[in-house]
Amino acid sequence: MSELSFFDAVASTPLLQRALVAGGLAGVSCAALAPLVVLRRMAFIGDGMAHAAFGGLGVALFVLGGSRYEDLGVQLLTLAFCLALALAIGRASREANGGNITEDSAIGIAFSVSMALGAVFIALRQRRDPQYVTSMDTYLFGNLLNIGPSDVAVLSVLTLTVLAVLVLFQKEILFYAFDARLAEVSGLNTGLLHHLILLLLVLTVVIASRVMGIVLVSSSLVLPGVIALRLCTRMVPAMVLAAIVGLVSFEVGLYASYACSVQPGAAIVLVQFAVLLVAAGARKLWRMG
Amino acid sequence: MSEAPSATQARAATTTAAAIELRGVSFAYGPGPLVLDHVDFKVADGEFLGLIGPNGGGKTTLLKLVLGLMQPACGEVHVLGRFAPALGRDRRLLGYVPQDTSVRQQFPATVMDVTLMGTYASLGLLRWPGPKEKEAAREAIREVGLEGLEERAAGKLSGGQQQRLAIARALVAQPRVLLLDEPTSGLDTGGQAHLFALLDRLRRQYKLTVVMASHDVTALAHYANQLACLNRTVHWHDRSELLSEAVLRKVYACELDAFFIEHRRHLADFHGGDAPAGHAHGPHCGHEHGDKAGGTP
Repeated sequence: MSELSFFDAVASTPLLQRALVAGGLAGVSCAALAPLVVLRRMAFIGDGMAHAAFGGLGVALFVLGGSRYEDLGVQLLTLAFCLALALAIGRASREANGGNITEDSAIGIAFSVSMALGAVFIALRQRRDPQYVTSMDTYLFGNLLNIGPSDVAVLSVLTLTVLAVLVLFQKEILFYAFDARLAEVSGLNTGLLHHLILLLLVLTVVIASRVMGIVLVSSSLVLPGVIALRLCTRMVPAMVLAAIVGLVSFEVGLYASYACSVQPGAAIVLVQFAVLLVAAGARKLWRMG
Repeated sequence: MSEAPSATQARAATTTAAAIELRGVSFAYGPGPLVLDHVDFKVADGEFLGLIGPNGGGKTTLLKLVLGLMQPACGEVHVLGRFAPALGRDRRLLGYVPQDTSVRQQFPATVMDVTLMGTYASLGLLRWPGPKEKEAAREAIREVGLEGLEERAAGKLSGGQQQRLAIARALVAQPRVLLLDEPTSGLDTGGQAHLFALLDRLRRQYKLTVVMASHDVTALAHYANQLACLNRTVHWHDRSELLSEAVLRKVYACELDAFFIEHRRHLADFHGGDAPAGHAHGPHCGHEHGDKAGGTP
Protein backbone atom coordinates (compact mmCIF):
# COMPACT_ATOMS: atom_id res chain seq x y z
CA MET A 1 0.00 0.00 0.00
CA SER A 2 1.45 3.36 -0.96
CA GLU A 3 2.01 6.27 1.42
CA LEU A 4 -0.39 8.38 -0.64
CA SER A 5 -3.21 5.91 -0.25
CA PHE A 6 -2.83 5.99 3.56
CA PHE A 7 -3.08 9.77 3.65
CA ASP A 8 -5.92 9.68 1.15
CA ALA A 9 -7.70 7.21 3.38
CA VAL A 10 -7.16 9.45 6.42
CA ALA A 11 -8.41 12.51 4.52
CA SER A 12 -11.55 10.77 3.36
CA THR A 13 -12.40 8.63 6.44
CA PRO A 14 -13.56 10.32 9.67
CA LEU A 15 -13.06 6.98 11.45
CA LEU A 16 -9.35 7.01 10.64
CA GLN A 17 -9.06 10.67 11.57
CA ARG A 18 -10.59 9.87 14.95
CA ALA A 19 -8.26 6.90 15.33
CA LEU A 20 -5.23 9.11 14.70
CA VAL A 21 -6.36 11.74 17.20
CA ALA A 22 -7.51 9.24 19.84
CA GLY A 23 -4.37 7.16 19.42
CA GLY A 24 -2.13 10.20 19.69
CA LEU A 25 -3.89 11.28 22.87
CA ALA A 26 -3.65 7.79 24.36
CA GLY A 27 0.01 7.61 23.39
CA VAL A 28 0.80 10.98 25.00
CA SER A 29 -1.04 10.24 28.27
CA CYS A 30 0.61 6.82 28.68
CA ALA A 31 4.06 8.01 27.66
CA ALA A 32 4.07 11.16 29.84
CA LEU A 33 3.60 8.88 32.86
CA ALA A 34 6.20 6.41 31.65
CA PRO A 35 9.37 7.98 33.19
CA LEU A 36 7.65 8.02 36.58
CA VAL A 37 6.46 4.42 36.13
CA VAL A 38 10.02 3.34 35.26
CA LEU A 39 11.70 5.28 38.06
CA ARG A 40 9.23 4.13 40.72
CA ARG A 41 9.42 0.59 39.33
CA MET A 42 5.66 0.58 38.87
CA ALA A 43 5.76 -1.24 35.52
CA PHE A 44 4.23 -4.34 37.06
CA ILE A 45 1.47 -2.23 38.64
CA GLY A 46 0.67 -0.82 35.19
CA ASP A 47 0.62 -4.31 33.78
CA GLY A 48 -1.59 -5.51 36.62
CA MET A 49 -3.98 -2.59 36.06
CA ALA A 50 -4.19 -3.37 32.35
CA HIS A 51 -5.20 -6.93 33.11
CA ALA A 52 -7.51 -5.83 35.91
CA ALA A 53 -9.34 -3.82 33.27
CA PHE A 54 -10.22 -7.08 31.55
CA GLY A 55 -11.75 -8.42 34.77
CA GLY A 56 -13.67 -5.19 35.28
CA LEU A 57 -14.91 -5.30 31.72
CA GLY A 58 -16.18 -8.88 32.12
CA VAL A 59 -17.99 -8.03 35.36
CA ALA A 60 -19.48 -4.87 33.79
CA LEU A 61 -20.72 -6.69 30.67
CA PHE A 62 -22.31 -9.37 32.83
CA VAL A 63 -23.88 -7.05 35.41
CA LEU A 64 -25.18 -4.49 32.91
CA GLY A 65 -27.41 -6.74 30.80
CA GLY A 66 -27.74 -5.67 27.16
CA SER A 67 -24.73 -3.36 27.37
CA ARG A 68 -21.91 -3.26 24.85
CA TYR A 69 -18.15 -2.80 25.18
CA GLU A 70 -18.23 0.83 24.09
CA ASP A 71 -21.08 1.90 26.45
CA LEU A 72 -20.26 4.56 29.03
CA GLY A 73 -21.77 2.46 31.84
CA VAL A 74 -19.41 -0.41 31.03
CA GLN A 75 -16.42 1.95 31.01
CA LEU A 76 -17.40 3.48 34.34
CA LEU A 77 -17.92 0.11 36.03
CA THR A 78 -14.59 -1.10 34.64
CA LEU A 79 -12.99 2.03 36.04
CA ALA A 80 -14.56 1.47 39.47
CA PHE A 81 -13.36 -2.14 39.49
CA CYS A 82 -9.81 -1.08 38.62
CA LEU A 83 -9.82 1.74 41.17
CA ALA A 84 -10.83 -0.68 43.93
CA LEU A 85 -8.07 -3.03 42.87
CA ALA A 86 -5.56 -0.16 42.63
CA LEU A 87 -6.38 0.90 46.18
CA ALA A 88 -5.85 -2.66 47.38
CA ILE A 89 -2.54 -2.89 45.51
CA GLY A 90 -1.55 0.58 46.74
CA ARG A 91 -2.20 -0.50 50.29
CA ALA A 92 -0.20 -3.67 49.77
CA SER A 93 2.68 -1.72 48.23
CA ARG A 94 2.78 0.85 51.04
CA GLU A 95 2.68 -1.88 53.66
CA ALA A 96 5.02 -4.13 51.73
CA ASN A 97 7.57 -4.17 54.52
CA GLY A 98 5.17 -5.03 57.28
CA GLY A 99 2.52 -7.07 55.52
CA ASN A 100 2.23 -10.79 54.97
CA ILE A 101 2.41 -10.54 51.21
CA THR A 102 4.91 -8.77 48.98
CA GLU A 103 3.85 -6.11 46.49
CA ASP A 104 4.71 -8.11 43.39
CA SER A 105 2.86 -11.14 44.74
CA ALA A 106 -0.23 -9.01 45.44
CA ILE A 107 -0.14 -7.61 41.90
CA GLY A 108 0.48 -11.05 40.42
CA ILE A 109 -2.57 -12.43 42.23
CA ALA A 110 -4.76 -9.47 41.23
CA PHE A 111 -3.53 -9.76 37.64
CA SER A 112 -4.36 -13.45 37.16
CA VAL A 113 -7.60 -13.45 39.16
CA SER A 114 -8.85 -10.45 37.15
CA MET A 115 -8.07 -12.16 33.86
CA ALA A 116 -9.88 -15.28 35.03
CA LEU A 117 -12.87 -13.25 36.22
CA GLY A 118 -12.97 -11.42 32.89
CA ALA A 119 -12.92 -14.67 30.87
CA VAL A 120 -15.62 -16.29 33.04
CA PHE A 121 -18.00 -13.33 33.06
CA ILE A 122 -17.66 -12.65 29.33
CA ALA A 123 -18.40 -16.34 28.64
CA LEU A 124 -21.45 -16.17 30.96
CA ARG A 125 -22.62 -13.02 29.20
CA GLN A 126 -22.28 -14.67 25.79
CA ARG A 127 -24.20 -17.74 27.03
CA ARG A 128 -27.02 -15.51 28.28
CA ASP A 129 -26.92 -13.20 25.28
CA PRO A 130 -25.75 -15.29 22.26
CA GLN A 131 -26.08 -12.45 19.75
CA TYR A 132 -23.53 -10.50 21.75
CA VAL A 133 -20.30 -11.82 20.34
CA THR A 134 -17.23 -9.60 20.50
CA SER A 135 -13.88 -11.10 19.67
CA MET A 136 -11.49 -11.38 22.61
CA ASP A 137 -8.94 -9.70 20.32
CA THR A 138 -10.97 -6.49 20.60
CA TYR A 139 -10.44 -6.43 24.37
CA LEU A 140 -6.87 -7.64 24.31
CA PHE A 141 -5.47 -5.69 21.37
CA GLY A 142 -7.92 -2.81 20.94
CA ASN A 143 -9.96 -1.84 17.94
CA LEU A 144 -9.54 1.55 16.38
CA LEU A 145 -12.69 1.06 14.34
CA ASN A 146 -14.68 1.29 17.59
CA ILE A 147 -13.53 4.83 18.35
CA GLY A 148 -16.39 7.32 18.46
CA PRO A 149 -16.43 11.11 19.01
CA SER A 150 -17.20 10.59 22.71
CA ASP A 151 -14.06 8.46 23.05
CA VAL A 152 -11.98 11.28 21.58
CA ALA A 153 -13.55 13.71 24.05
CA VAL A 154 -12.84 11.38 27.00
CA LEU A 155 -9.26 10.84 25.85
CA SER A 156 -8.76 14.61 25.51
CA VAL A 157 -9.91 15.15 29.10
CA LEU A 158 -7.68 12.31 30.27
CA THR A 159 -4.60 13.67 28.49
CA LEU A 160 -5.17 17.17 29.84
CA THR A 161 -5.64 15.75 33.34
CA VAL A 162 -2.44 13.70 33.19
CA LEU A 163 -0.41 16.62 31.85
CA ALA A 164 -1.91 19.06 34.38
CA VAL A 165 -1.09 16.79 37.33
CA LEU A 166 2.45 16.21 36.07
CA VAL A 167 3.03 19.96 35.65
CA LEU A 168 1.37 21.10 38.88
CA PHE A 169 2.99 18.45 41.08
CA GLN A 170 6.30 18.21 39.22
CA LYS A 171 8.50 18.94 42.22
CA GLU A 172 6.61 16.57 44.53
CA ILE A 173 6.65 13.87 41.84
CA LEU A 174 10.39 14.34 41.33
CA PHE A 175 11.08 13.93 45.07
CA TYR A 176 8.66 10.98 45.29
CA ALA A 177 10.40 9.28 42.36
CA PHE A 178 13.79 10.02 43.92
CA ASP A 179 13.01 8.50 47.32
CA ALA A 180 9.47 8.17 48.63
CA ARG A 181 10.58 7.63 52.22
CA LEU A 182 12.79 10.72 52.21
CA ALA A 183 9.98 12.75 50.68
CA GLU A 184 7.68 11.62 53.49
CA VAL A 185 10.28 12.42 56.15
CA SER A 186 10.76 15.90 54.73
CA GLY A 187 7.06 16.63 55.18
CA LEU A 188 5.50 15.85 51.79
CA ASN A 189 2.18 14.00 51.80
CA THR A 190 3.45 10.95 49.96
CA GLY A 191 0.36 8.89 50.79
CA LEU A 192 -1.79 11.33 48.84
CA LEU A 193 0.79 11.48 46.04
CA HIS A 194 1.01 7.68 45.84
CA HIS A 195 -2.76 7.36 45.47
CA LEU A 196 -2.95 10.25 43.01
CA ILE A 197 -0.40 8.53 40.77
CA LEU A 198 -2.24 5.21 41.08
CA LEU A 199 -5.48 6.97 40.13
CA LEU A 200 -3.82 8.49 37.06
CA LEU A 201 -2.44 5.09 36.10
CA VAL A 202 -5.83 3.44 36.40
CA LEU A 203 -7.60 6.16 34.42
CA THR A 204 -4.94 6.04 31.72
CA VAL A 205 -4.93 2.26 31.45
CA VAL A 206 -8.71 1.89 31.36
CA ILE A 207 -9.30 4.67 28.85
CA ALA A 208 -6.27 4.08 26.64
CA SER A 209 -6.95 0.34 26.48
CA ARG A 210 -10.03 1.13 24.37
CA VAL A 211 -7.55 2.19 21.69
CA MET A 212 -4.49 0.06 22.28
CA GLY A 213 -5.97 -2.99 23.94
CA ILE A 214 -5.29 -4.07 27.51
CA VAL A 215 -2.30 -6.26 26.73
CA LEU A 216 -0.30 -3.62 24.89
CA VAL A 217 -1.22 -0.51 26.87
CA SER A 218 1.19 -1.54 29.62
CA SER A 219 4.13 -1.40 27.21
CA SER A 220 3.29 2.22 26.43
CA LEU A 221 3.68 2.91 30.13
CA VAL A 222 7.24 1.60 30.05
CA LEU A 223 9.01 1.85 26.68
CA PRO A 224 8.79 5.64 26.15
CA GLY A 225 10.03 6.12 29.72
CA VAL A 226 13.04 3.86 29.20
CA ILE A 227 13.86 5.68 25.95
CA ALA A 228 13.56 9.15 27.50
CA LEU A 229 15.58 8.26 30.59
CA ARG A 230 18.39 7.02 28.36
CA LEU A 231 18.61 10.39 26.67
CA CYS A 232 17.65 12.99 29.31
CA THR A 233 19.37 14.01 32.53
CA ARG A 234 16.44 15.94 34.01
CA MET A 235 12.89 14.95 34.80
CA VAL A 236 10.82 17.51 32.88
CA PRO A 237 12.69 17.05 29.57
CA ALA A 238 12.40 13.27 30.09
CA MET A 239 8.62 13.53 30.43
CA VAL A 240 8.34 15.81 27.39
CA LEU A 241 10.52 13.50 25.27
CA ALA A 242 8.56 10.43 26.43
CA ALA A 243 5.30 12.13 25.43
CA ILE A 244 6.74 12.95 21.98
CA VAL A 245 7.92 9.34 21.59
CA GLY A 246 4.44 8.16 22.60
CA LEU A 247 2.76 10.44 20.06
CA VAL A 248 5.10 9.77 17.15
CA SER A 249 5.31 6.02 17.71
CA PHE A 250 1.54 5.79 17.76
CA GLU A 251 1.12 7.62 14.49
CA VAL A 252 3.96 5.72 12.81
CA GLY A 253 2.62 2.46 14.27
CA LEU A 254 -0.84 3.21 12.96
CA TYR A 255 0.56 3.84 9.51
CA ALA A 256 2.52 0.56 9.68
CA SER A 257 -0.59 -1.25 10.88
CA TYR A 258 -2.61 0.16 7.97
CA ALA A 259 0.13 -0.58 5.47
CA CYS A 260 0.77 -4.15 6.65
CA SER A 261 -2.76 -5.01 7.80
CA VAL A 262 -1.68 -5.98 11.32
CA GLN A 263 -3.04 -5.12 14.78
CA PRO A 264 -2.31 -1.43 15.57
CA GLY A 265 -1.26 -2.23 19.16
CA ALA A 266 1.37 -4.71 17.99
CA ALA A 267 2.69 -2.28 15.35
CA ILE A 268 2.92 0.55 17.91
CA VAL A 269 4.86 -1.54 20.42
CA LEU A 270 7.29 -2.70 17.73
CA VAL A 271 7.83 0.91 16.61
CA GLN A 272 8.55 1.91 20.23
CA PHE A 273 10.98 -0.97 20.58
CA ALA A 274 12.74 0.13 17.37
CA VAL A 275 13.04 3.67 18.80
CA LEU A 276 14.56 2.17 21.97
CA LEU A 277 17.18 0.33 19.92
CA VAL A 278 17.98 3.52 17.98
CA ALA A 279 18.21 5.53 21.23
CA ALA A 280 20.53 2.94 22.79
CA GLY A 281 22.70 2.96 19.68
CA ALA A 282 22.78 6.76 19.54
CA ARG A 283 23.80 6.93 23.20
CA LYS A 284 26.61 4.47 22.62
CA LEU A 285 27.83 6.46 19.61
CA TRP A 286 27.62 9.70 21.62
CA ARG A 287 29.76 8.17 24.38
CA MET A 288 32.29 6.83 21.90
CA GLY A 289 32.44 10.20 20.16
CA MET B 1 24.36 29.73 55.33
CA SER B 2 21.86 32.53 55.65
CA GLU B 3 18.86 31.74 57.77
CA ALA B 4 15.27 32.67 57.15
CA PRO B 5 13.82 34.70 60.05
CA SER B 6 11.24 32.01 60.76
CA ALA B 7 13.94 29.41 61.28
CA THR B 8 15.90 31.73 63.57
CA GLN B 9 12.78 32.52 65.58
CA ALA B 10 11.94 28.86 65.80
CA ARG B 11 15.40 28.17 67.13
CA ALA B 12 15.19 30.93 69.71
CA ALA B 13 11.74 29.85 70.84
CA THR B 14 12.86 26.42 71.94
CA THR B 15 16.44 26.86 73.04
CA THR B 16 15.57 25.79 76.55
CA ALA B 17 13.69 22.67 75.51
CA ALA B 18 15.35 19.36 74.71
CA ALA B 19 15.72 18.81 71.00
CA ILE B 20 14.55 15.22 71.34
CA GLU B 21 12.90 13.48 74.25
CA LEU B 22 11.50 9.96 74.50
CA ARG B 23 9.50 9.12 77.61
CA GLY B 24 9.00 5.45 78.45
CA VAL B 25 8.89 4.47 74.79
CA SER B 26 8.37 0.84 73.85
CA PHE B 27 7.99 -0.47 70.33
CA ALA B 28 7.50 -3.82 68.62
CA TYR B 29 7.01 -4.69 64.96
CA GLY B 30 3.58 -6.34 64.88
CA PRO B 31 3.22 -9.15 67.38
CA GLY B 32 7.01 -9.66 67.58
CA PRO B 33 9.25 -9.03 70.59
CA LEU B 34 9.94 -5.52 71.85
CA VAL B 35 12.61 -3.75 69.82
CA LEU B 36 12.64 -0.86 72.28
CA ASP B 37 11.70 -1.50 75.88
CA HIS B 38 10.73 1.49 78.01
CA VAL B 39 13.35 3.82 76.61
CA ASP B 40 13.90 7.22 78.24
CA PHE B 41 16.02 9.38 76.04
CA LYS B 42 16.83 13.06 75.96
CA VAL B 43 19.13 15.05 73.70
CA ALA B 44 19.79 18.73 74.37
CA ASP B 45 19.98 21.42 71.72
CA GLY B 46 23.35 21.52 70.01
CA GLU B 47 24.51 18.09 71.21
CA PHE B 48 26.20 15.52 69.01
CA LEU B 49 24.87 12.18 70.15
CA GLY B 50 26.44 9.00 68.88
CA LEU B 51 24.07 6.07 68.87
CA ILE B 52 25.79 2.70 68.90
CA GLY B 53 24.60 -0.83 69.39
CA PRO B 54 24.38 -4.17 67.65
CA ASN B 55 22.33 -4.80 64.52
CA GLY B 56 18.69 -5.17 65.52
CA GLY B 57 19.35 -3.20 68.71
CA GLY B 58 16.76 -0.56 67.79
CA LYS B 59 18.88 2.31 66.43
CA THR B 60 16.99 2.72 63.16
CA THR B 61 13.68 2.14 64.93
CA LEU B 62 14.48 4.94 67.36
CA LEU B 63 15.31 7.30 64.50
CA LYS B 64 12.05 6.40 62.73
CA LEU B 65 10.08 7.14 65.89
CA VAL B 66 11.75 10.53 66.19
CA LEU B 67 10.97 11.23 62.54
CA GLY B 68 7.33 10.37 63.18
CA LEU B 69 7.32 7.55 60.63
CA MET B 70 6.07 5.11 63.27
CA GLN B 71 4.17 5.41 66.51
CA PRO B 72 5.39 3.82 69.76
CA ALA B 73 3.33 1.06 71.37
CA CYS B 74 3.52 3.09 74.57
CA GLY B 75 5.29 6.21 75.76
CA GLU B 76 5.72 9.57 74.07
CA VAL B 77 8.15 11.07 71.61
CA HIS B 78 8.74 14.82 71.81
CA VAL B 79 10.74 16.72 69.23
CA LEU B 80 11.72 20.38 69.65
CA GLY B 81 9.41 20.61 72.63
CA ARG B 82 6.39 19.28 70.74
CA PHE B 83 4.60 15.97 70.53
CA ALA B 84 6.23 14.34 67.47
CA PRO B 85 3.04 13.34 65.60
CA ALA B 86 1.85 16.97 65.86
CA LEU B 87 4.92 18.40 64.14
CA GLY B 88 3.19 18.58 60.76
CA ARG B 89 5.09 20.77 58.32
CA ASP B 90 7.64 21.60 61.02
CA ARG B 91 8.95 18.12 60.43
CA ARG B 92 11.20 19.88 57.92
CA LEU B 93 13.19 21.09 60.96
CA LEU B 94 14.38 17.49 61.21
CA GLY B 95 17.01 16.73 58.59
CA TYR B 96 17.46 13.06 57.79
CA VAL B 97 20.30 11.29 56.05
CA PRO B 98 19.46 7.64 55.43
CA GLN B 99 21.83 4.71 55.40
CA ASP B 100 21.59 4.32 51.65
CA THR B 101 22.23 7.61 49.92
CA SER B 102 23.09 6.15 46.53
CA VAL B 103 21.37 7.73 43.53
CA ARG B 104 20.49 5.51 40.58
CA GLN B 105 22.86 6.25 37.74
CA GLN B 106 20.11 7.20 35.29
CA PHE B 107 17.98 9.20 37.71
CA PRO B 108 17.16 12.44 35.86
CA ALA B 109 18.29 15.02 38.40
CA THR B 110 21.36 17.18 38.86
CA VAL B 111 23.17 17.93 42.12
CA MET B 112 21.23 21.23 42.24
CA ASP B 113 17.89 19.45 41.67
CA VAL B 114 18.53 16.98 44.51
CA THR B 115 19.66 19.71 46.90
CA LEU B 116 16.58 21.79 46.11
CA MET B 117 14.37 18.86 47.13
CA GLY B 118 15.16 19.91 50.70
CA THR B 119 13.16 23.12 50.14
CA TYR B 120 10.02 21.49 48.69
CA ALA B 121 8.16 20.90 51.95
CA SER B 122 8.58 24.51 53.10
CA LEU B 123 7.57 25.85 49.68
CA GLY B 124 4.26 24.02 49.72
CA LEU B 125 2.07 23.11 46.76
CA LEU B 126 2.19 25.01 43.46
CA ARG B 127 5.28 27.02 44.40
CA TRP B 128 8.63 26.41 42.79
CA PRO B 129 12.13 27.17 44.02
CA GLY B 130 13.06 30.79 43.29
CA PRO B 131 16.34 32.72 43.51
CA LYS B 132 16.32 32.59 47.33
CA GLU B 133 16.02 28.80 47.42
CA LYS B 134 18.59 28.41 44.65
CA GLU B 135 21.08 30.60 46.52
CA ALA B 136 20.49 28.57 49.71
CA ALA B 137 21.05 25.37 47.71
CA ARG B 138 24.29 26.74 46.22
CA GLU B 139 25.47 27.60 49.72
CA ALA B 140 24.61 24.14 51.05
CA ILE B 141 26.45 22.58 48.10
CA ARG B 142 29.45 24.78 48.89
CA GLU B 143 29.31 23.83 52.58
CA VAL B 144 29.65 20.14 51.79
CA GLY B 145 32.41 20.71 49.26
CA LEU B 146 30.54 19.97 46.04
CA GLU B 147 30.84 23.43 44.50
CA GLY B 148 31.37 23.32 40.76
CA LEU B 149 29.29 20.13 40.46
CA GLU B 150 25.86 21.81 40.60
CA GLU B 151 24.88 20.72 37.09
CA ARG B 152 26.44 17.24 37.29
CA ALA B 153 23.98 14.32 37.16
CA ALA B 154 23.54 13.17 40.77
CA GLY B 155 23.82 9.51 39.76
CA LYS B 156 27.31 10.10 38.40
CA LEU B 157 28.81 11.25 41.72
CA SER B 158 31.04 8.95 43.76
CA GLY B 159 29.68 7.27 46.90
CA GLY B 160 31.30 9.84 49.20
CA GLN B 161 30.02 12.72 47.08
CA GLN B 162 26.49 11.28 47.14
CA GLN B 163 26.75 11.06 50.91
CA ARG B 164 27.68 14.75 51.05
CA LEU B 165 24.88 15.56 48.62
CA ALA B 166 22.42 13.92 51.03
CA ILE B 167 23.74 16.18 53.78
CA ALA B 168 23.41 19.24 51.52
CA ARG B 169 19.80 18.30 50.79
CA ALA B 170 19.10 17.98 54.52
CA LEU B 171 20.98 21.20 55.29
CA VAL B 172 19.18 23.41 52.78
CA ALA B 173 15.93 22.99 54.73
CA GLN B 174 17.67 24.75 57.65
CA PRO B 175 17.02 21.93 60.09
CA ARG B 176 17.53 22.18 63.82
CA VAL B 177 18.15 18.49 64.21
CA LEU B 178 20.14 16.27 61.89
CA LEU B 179 19.50 12.53 62.13
CA LEU B 180 21.91 10.21 60.36
CA ASP B 181 21.42 6.47 60.06
CA GLU B 182 24.78 4.74 59.67
CA PRO B 183 26.00 7.27 57.11
CA THR B 184 29.55 5.91 57.07
CA SER B 185 28.63 2.46 55.81
CA GLY B 186 29.98 2.05 52.30
CA LEU B 187 32.58 4.80 52.71
CA ASP B 188 36.33 4.16 52.86
CA THR B 189 38.37 5.34 55.85
CA GLY B 190 39.18 8.68 54.24
CA GLY B 191 35.54 9.27 53.33
CA GLN B 192 34.44 8.45 56.88
CA ALA B 193 36.96 10.86 58.42
CA HIS B 194 35.87 13.59 56.01
CA LEU B 195 32.20 13.01 56.86
CA PHE B 196 32.76 13.15 60.62
CA ALA B 197 34.84 16.33 60.32
CA LEU B 198 32.17 17.90 58.10
CA LEU B 199 29.37 17.08 60.54
CA ASP B 200 31.35 18.39 63.47
CA ARG B 201 31.98 21.67 61.65
CA LEU B 202 28.35 22.04 60.55
CA ARG B 203 27.10 21.32 64.05
CA ARG B 204 29.23 24.06 65.54
CA GLN B 205 28.52 26.51 62.72
CA TYR B 206 24.73 26.12 62.68
CA LYS B 207 24.23 24.99 66.29
CA LEU B 208 22.68 21.80 64.99
CA THR B 209 21.68 18.92 67.17
CA VAL B 210 23.17 15.82 65.58
CA VAL B 211 22.11 12.25 66.27
CA MET B 212 24.13 9.67 64.40
CA ALA B 213 23.62 5.93 64.48
CA SER B 214 26.85 4.20 63.58
CA HIS B 215 29.00 1.16 64.21
CA ASP B 216 32.11 3.34 64.11
CA VAL B 217 32.50 3.60 67.89
CA THR B 218 36.01 4.99 67.73
CA ALA B 219 35.08 7.94 65.52
CA LEU B 220 31.93 8.62 67.51
CA ALA B 221 33.93 8.60 70.73
CA HIS B 222 36.08 11.29 69.14
CA TYR B 223 33.39 13.58 67.77
CA ALA B 224 30.22 13.00 69.80
CA ASN B 225 29.47 14.81 73.07
CA GLN B 226 27.56 11.81 74.28
CA LEU B 227 27.31 8.18 73.38
CA ALA B 228 24.24 6.06 73.88
CA CYS B 229 24.44 2.30 73.57
CA LEU B 230 21.17 0.89 72.39
CA ASN B 231 20.17 -2.72 72.64
CA ARG B 232 16.47 -2.75 73.40
CA THR B 233 17.14 -0.39 76.30
CA VAL B 234 19.43 2.63 76.34
CA HIS B 235 22.72 2.92 78.21
CA TRP B 236 24.02 6.48 78.54
CA HIS B 237 27.55 7.78 78.73
CA ASP B 238 29.23 11.11 78.55
CA ARG B 239 32.17 11.06 76.25
CA SER B 240 34.31 11.98 79.23
CA GLU B 241 33.30 8.76 80.92
CA LEU B 242 33.93 6.79 77.76
CA LEU B 243 32.83 3.27 77.28
CA SER B 244 34.06 0.48 79.40
CA GLU B 245 34.74 -2.94 78.00
CA ALA B 246 32.14 -4.37 80.34
CA VAL B 247 29.42 -2.09 78.99
CA LEU B 248 30.22 -2.81 75.39
CA ARG B 249 30.42 -6.53 76.06
CA LYS B 250 27.02 -6.32 77.69
CA VAL B 251 25.49 -4.30 74.85
CA TYR B 252 27.06 -6.15 71.95
CA ALA B 253 27.09 -9.55 73.75
CA CYS B 254 30.48 -10.46 72.28
CA GLU B 255 34.20 -10.14 72.90
CA LEU B 256 35.57 -6.78 71.94
CA ASP B 257 39.27 -7.12 72.62
CA ALA B 258 40.25 -6.16 69.08
CA PHE B 259 38.06 -3.09 69.30
CA PHE B 260 39.60 -2.05 72.58
CA ILE B 261 43.15 -2.23 71.32
CA GLU B 262 42.25 0.22 68.56
CA HIS B 263 39.96 2.26 70.81
CA ARG B 264 42.62 2.76 73.51
CA ARG B 265 45.19 3.72 70.91
CA HIS B 266 42.80 6.27 69.51
CA LEU B 267 41.92 7.63 72.93
CA ALA B 268 45.58 7.91 73.80
CA ASP B 269 46.06 10.09 70.73
CA PHE B 270 42.93 12.06 71.50
CA HIS B 271 43.74 12.71 75.19
CA GLY B 272 47.49 13.07 74.83
CA GLY B 273 48.31 9.60 76.19
CA ASP B 274 45.83 9.68 79.06
CA ALA B 275 43.66 6.83 77.93
CA PRO B 276 41.53 5.20 80.58
CA ALA B 277 41.68 1.49 81.23
CA GLY B 278 38.84 -0.58 79.95
CA HIS B 279 37.43 -1.31 83.42
CA ALA B 280 38.32 2.01 84.99
CA HIS B 281 34.80 3.38 84.77
CA GLY B 282 31.78 1.56 86.03
CA PRO B 283 29.08 1.04 83.45
CA HIS B 284 26.10 3.39 83.60
CA CYS B 285 23.72 1.00 82.02
CA GLY B 286 20.90 -1.43 82.55
CA HIS B 287 18.62 -0.03 85.24
CA GLU B 288 20.55 3.18 85.40
CA HIS B 289 19.44 4.24 81.97
CA GLY B 290 18.03 7.69 81.94
CA ASP B 291 20.37 9.01 84.63
CA LYS B 292 22.07 11.24 82.11
CA ALA B 293 18.85 11.82 80.30
CA GLY B 294 17.62 14.10 82.96
CA GLY B 295 20.92 15.72 83.84
CA THR B 296 23.37 16.32 81.11
CA PRO B 297 21.20 17.63 78.30
